[in-house]
Amino acid sequence: MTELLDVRAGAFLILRELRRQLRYLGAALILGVIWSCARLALPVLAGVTIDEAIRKDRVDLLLALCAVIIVIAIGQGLAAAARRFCAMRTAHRVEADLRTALYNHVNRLSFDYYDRTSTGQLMSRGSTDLHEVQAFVMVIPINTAFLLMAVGSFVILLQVHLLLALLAMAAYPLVTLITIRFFNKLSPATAEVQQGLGDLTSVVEENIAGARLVRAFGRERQQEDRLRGVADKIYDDSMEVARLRTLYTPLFYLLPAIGQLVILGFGGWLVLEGDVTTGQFVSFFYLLNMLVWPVQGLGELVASGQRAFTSAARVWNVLKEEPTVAQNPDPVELPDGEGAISFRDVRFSYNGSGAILDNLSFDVPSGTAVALVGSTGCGKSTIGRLLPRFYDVDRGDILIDGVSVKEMDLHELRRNVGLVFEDTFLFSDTIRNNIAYGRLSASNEEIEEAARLAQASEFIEKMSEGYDTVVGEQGFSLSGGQRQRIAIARAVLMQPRVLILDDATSSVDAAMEEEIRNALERVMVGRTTIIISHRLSTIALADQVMLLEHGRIAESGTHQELTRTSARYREVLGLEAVSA
Amino acid sequence: MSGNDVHVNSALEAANMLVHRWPVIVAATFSIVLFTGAILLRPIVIQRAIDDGLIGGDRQTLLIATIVFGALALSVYVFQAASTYTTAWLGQRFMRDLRVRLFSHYQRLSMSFFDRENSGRLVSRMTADMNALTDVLNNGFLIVIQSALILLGTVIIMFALSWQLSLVTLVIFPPLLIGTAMFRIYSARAYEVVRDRIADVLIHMQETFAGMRVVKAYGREPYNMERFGAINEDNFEANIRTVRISSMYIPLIEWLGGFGIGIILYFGGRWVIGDAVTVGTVAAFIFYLDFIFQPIQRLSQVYDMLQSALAALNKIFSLLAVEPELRDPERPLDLAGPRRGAIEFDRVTFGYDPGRPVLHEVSFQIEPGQRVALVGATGAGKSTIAKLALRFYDPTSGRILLDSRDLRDLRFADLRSVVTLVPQEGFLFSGTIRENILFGRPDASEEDVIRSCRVLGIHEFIQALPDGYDTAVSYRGSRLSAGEKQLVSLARAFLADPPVLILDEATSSLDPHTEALVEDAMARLYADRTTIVVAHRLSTAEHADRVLVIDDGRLVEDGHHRELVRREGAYAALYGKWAPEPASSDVA
Repeated sequence: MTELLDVRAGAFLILRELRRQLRYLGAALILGVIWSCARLALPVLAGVTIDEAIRKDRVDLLLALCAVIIVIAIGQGLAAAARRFCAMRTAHRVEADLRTALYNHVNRLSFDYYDRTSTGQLMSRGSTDLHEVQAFVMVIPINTAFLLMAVGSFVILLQVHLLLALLAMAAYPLVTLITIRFFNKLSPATAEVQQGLGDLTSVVEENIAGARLVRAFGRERQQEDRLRGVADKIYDDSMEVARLRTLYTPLFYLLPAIGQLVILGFGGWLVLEGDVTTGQFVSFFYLLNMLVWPVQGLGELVASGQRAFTSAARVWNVLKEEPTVAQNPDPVELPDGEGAISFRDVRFSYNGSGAILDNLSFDVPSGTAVALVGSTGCGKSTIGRLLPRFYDVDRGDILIDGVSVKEMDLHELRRNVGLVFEDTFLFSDTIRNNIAYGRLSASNEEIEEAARLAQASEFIEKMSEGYDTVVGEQGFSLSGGQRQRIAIARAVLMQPRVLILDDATSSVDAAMEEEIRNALERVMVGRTTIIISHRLSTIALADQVMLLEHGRIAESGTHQELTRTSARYREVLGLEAVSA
Repeated sequence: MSGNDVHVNSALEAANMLVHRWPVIVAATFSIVLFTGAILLRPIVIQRAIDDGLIGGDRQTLLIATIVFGALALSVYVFQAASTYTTAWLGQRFMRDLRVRLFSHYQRLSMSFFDRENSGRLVSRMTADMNALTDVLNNGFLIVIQSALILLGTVIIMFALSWQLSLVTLVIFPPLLIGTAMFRIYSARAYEVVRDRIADVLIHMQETFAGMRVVKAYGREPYNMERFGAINEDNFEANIRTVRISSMYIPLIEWLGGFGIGIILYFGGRWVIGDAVTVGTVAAFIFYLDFIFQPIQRLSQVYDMLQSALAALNKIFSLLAVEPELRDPERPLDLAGPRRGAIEFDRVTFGYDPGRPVLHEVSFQIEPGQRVALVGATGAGKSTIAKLALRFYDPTSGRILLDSRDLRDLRFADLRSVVTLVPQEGFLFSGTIRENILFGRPDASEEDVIRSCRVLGIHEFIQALPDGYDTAVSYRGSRLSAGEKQLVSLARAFLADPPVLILDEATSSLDPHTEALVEDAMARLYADRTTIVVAHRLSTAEHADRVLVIDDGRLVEDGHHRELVRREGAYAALYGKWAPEPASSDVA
């Protein structure tokens, strides 16, 4: 997927952040100026020392000049330290601020955005792209100082001899231009190598995860060929990078040498003509030597700037997104109740594609449970997502205890709608904190009570660290059924009026389902529940079943009624096959 | 001490992989030496030009010096290019060979190794550790040699030019070395903290973004923002600590640089006045000063890189030293004749840890074409029996026979053509669906693939996918559902057409439509071959010809489903616990 990038917006974003760091950035720039003046002074002073003291046999002046050189060096060192600190602080601050802004903004966005963006994309905005911005900002002050040094050197030479200055410095702009070109060619080439390394990682991961299969089918040779292909590609791409380095890096030394050659030949001739002194000759040579790295640095700055603007443009693309589900500025208080739900003429479509739900109306009386049944894509899961306003309806209204979900405070609404999904997401944290995820203020008693209700307390207490066991990707791995019960406890702790169980029992085996069903039965008491499932035993928990087809309720009744009367219902649940 | 020996061994092994590329190694060495030589000679040319040309007033010397300087600059250009290319070539060749070698080694290792080793670690040997080596080969190696040569050459030339001036100049050496070493130590510590902190930031971001729906559902955004703000700030602080350290080191370098010039000019100046040295020598010393600072700083920069590369090399070569536990027999039995697919376990005892057996004296015979379900609680040993039948492991005692031949007497290639596995989760490799099916028999034709899918009744399903058989799938973010993956993996096994099939059943339930497809395909796959199913579902045992009930590593019951239910033993107890789904019995 190619996204549209507005590089100017990226540049503005960086500029906006830099304006907020004006104190440190300004200090870094000023210190850079002081530093470059001191650096320029050293070669000049060395030349003066040779001409005035050494060649004129003046030992007293020699001591004085050398003392001045050391004093200037001390100042130069201090300025360098302070410049570096200010520059790097600015860069890290900009990176950290942008990362916080990015993170907070993503937290504010709505579900439609998460649907069309992958975690990987967001991660690379928050890491690689921001790092690119940081790397650029960091080198701004030193390169400004470098530029000043280059100009200063030119002025110093100019004062002695116009032609010498022009000839000696002619190659330097070329170095800068070539550096820009080099880095612009290098970064796509390195990206190719990185791509290859990524491919290699997947081949290896896959091979190890599928080691059993590779052996069972005796396909070791095929796997080796596959890796050899990737390794060869990495080799070819790396050699392309090597070729670029071979072509360009030696130029960075050859071109400045032209300037030095001019000083040596032409400058030396001018010394013999008496237009330039030996001391000046040495100081010119010294100056040009000193410039080799700075003119390259300027090229790198430009190249890095181009990358940073592109990266910042990608970050900006996230920051400019608007949440589509807005908080009601003047929310209505939710009256007492047990979560009576009513859908009125609801029409809904994802991102303007075809309507998933159309003209959908139904009521779930408070305190009862309804099961939504239908084939894949019929819209049953969508209903569960509309209730907590993960999306807003296109038309119609949804009410909880008589209040439209749009009128409620968004947090209040979501606190009152508990959700248990099919794939339970647990965070890398303790079990306690995972259960208290939605209510941080919950007491230990409340957490343990929720776990008991969800039939999770037994296995949790058996673990060596109990509720303090760290789970999730980074921690202890739980079985599907255990994760599910923790998710149920997490939902229950919120004491929601409405509970939505979306395929909550599908990823566990029959024995485990039994336990989860028992847990669900207990937590459904005193609230309104919507069950989305194709498992008969889970559906059996509901008072009422609705068969959904093409975004509408096709039939409804109790499970027994529907199995008796509706052929379509039996078909959707695969009951025909079982009875046949 | 022994750790060092291992390092030395690894380095020797690595060198061994490069020896046969000696012509390029010679060329690389040659160009590096000439490159540094040309760089080192340039200040001498300046010295000559100043002393004999400018001060001596000799135009010819100046002209020669200019020409020589130009020639040196050109040599630097040529030999730098040559050394850059040759070292890169050597490094990349080496990396390519090492990658292929280690990966091929993985393919030869036995399954027991993969069960034991952490898979993340095995991946990181092939990725992170290889990258650490590449870093050094790309930059580090050349830098180390060049810097060392330049430093050495500079000191020699300085002493040759003027030993007195050399001695006074070298007073900057001790503080430079000590300062640089201290900086390395402190900054290495500080960067370690930065690595931890940035990992915290990335983990928190990753989790929030991946779990965004839960975050929203539970209204966690405000707390998350607060928490992330703190983590992000910690990372910033850790970075600032490294900045402070480097900001203390930088002035030391600049001070010593200025101090060096002051010393050279003062003492050099005095000795010029006393006619002990020349102005050209003083100028040359100023230029050589750079040749001391740069190499030391660059060497210290690559020091850490070198350390981690050595560690990586060590890890890679100790992995290469691991021998496969199971090998082809020296005199394999021929598996000629019709392959019937009779499996016999003859008093098989086995433990992953030989001291703790998980199977005890298990014996049974499976007739060709029989469909057998292995049943038992988690950890009873069902899967272990399946693994032994595939010879992923050898029994500690007892024998396993395929058509009356001990598995240990068969070539792996022969065994694999008879016994094949369908894994639990419908594992797919990255590629197209066709490629995944062809994995079963790479030389199969397009017609064979389609025929297999037709027989299994999944051809229509595959055709209905966006790109049909060319639909791209991957081991990670595949767009196929769990059930669809299972279907493809059944087709793969069908195409391989093995007389014996070992199947690890999936635990998760599918939507009714896919479930029906899968069950139907399985029934067709089982026809006319011996199948051993590690059963997680009651219905599988119900439909099997024979059920083997495993409890605590022992075969406790053996018979048909109905028979076993009637017997009211272990199987009947399990059956009671599994109990058919109430509603379905309701209808049936």
